Amino acid sequence: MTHLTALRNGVLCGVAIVAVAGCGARLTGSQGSSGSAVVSSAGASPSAAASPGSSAVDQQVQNIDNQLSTIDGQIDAADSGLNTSEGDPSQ
Amino acid sequence: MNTRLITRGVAALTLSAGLGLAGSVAVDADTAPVPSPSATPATTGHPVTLAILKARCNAAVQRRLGTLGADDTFVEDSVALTGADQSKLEGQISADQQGLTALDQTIQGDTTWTQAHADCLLIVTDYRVYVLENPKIHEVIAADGITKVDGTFETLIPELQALINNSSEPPSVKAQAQTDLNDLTSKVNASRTSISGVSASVINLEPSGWPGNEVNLKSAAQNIKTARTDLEGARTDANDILELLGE
Repeated sequence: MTHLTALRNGVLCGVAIVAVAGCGARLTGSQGSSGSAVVSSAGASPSAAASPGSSAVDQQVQNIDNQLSTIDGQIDAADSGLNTSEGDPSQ
Repeated sequence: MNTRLITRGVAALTLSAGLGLAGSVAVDADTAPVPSPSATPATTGHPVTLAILKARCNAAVQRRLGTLGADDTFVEDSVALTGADQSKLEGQISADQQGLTALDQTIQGDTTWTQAHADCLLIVTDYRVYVLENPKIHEVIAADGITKVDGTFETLIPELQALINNSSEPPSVKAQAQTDLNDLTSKVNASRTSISGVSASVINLEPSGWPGNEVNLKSAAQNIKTARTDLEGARTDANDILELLGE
């Protein structure tokens, strides 16, 4: 009986820990998705919950990389035109 | 004697034909470094028939329509262009497409070699597709893209600042990250300065202003590259910050 009670308490404790951890993760993720919320809270409180999720930052960096790649293609295309001359089409 | 003269004549004709064919590949190619068409007026000798001349002019128009069509796709698909720039470029491309198509019809209806040749030269001088319109379009897309990236960095900077503020890394590491963030901010500001006004400086350039307005295109290209280099530095700073903070 003592063993069963201990086992039950252990299981309940484990469930409670998982639930708390899950809530924490959800809270952090939702705050990280809003850039403006992060900015306003950063100066007021340096708590861990105010930090942007690294995934949000990674997303911004990924966006920048994609945009820079597109820009490079356009720069190359423009350079190609700047090194071109147009001759007599009838020749 | 007569045989020798005939042989020389055939050889000369063969050489002329060969040069003519070689020229047709090089002078109108969109990447060939060739002199301006104004330097090569029509000759009274008419090296090709009117039919061949019209065919060459039609091919020149079709090549330019192909380039403009590809440019139009870039403009329509671009997420970096401002609405105003996108609308203006689409209007310019559409006008060029319509004008070149009408010009081709005019050429095909010309009844003399001289008139057809004069109209054919307008394919270059009235449109400057390869040397002006095409690079201009790409420069505007690139410049607006730089501005868009600057905006993305503006969003990223406070997020990185929050990561530094809330990091549990040692103070020396956080200080280094802060130095990198300051440098990042400086580079983004420099990029913004370099790209300011670049799109506006080229988007209204007209073929009638060629070659005087070529300098505008080259200046814009240099500013775009300078801004792009600054953004590369800012991107490196962002990466360094994330590595320092273990993100």
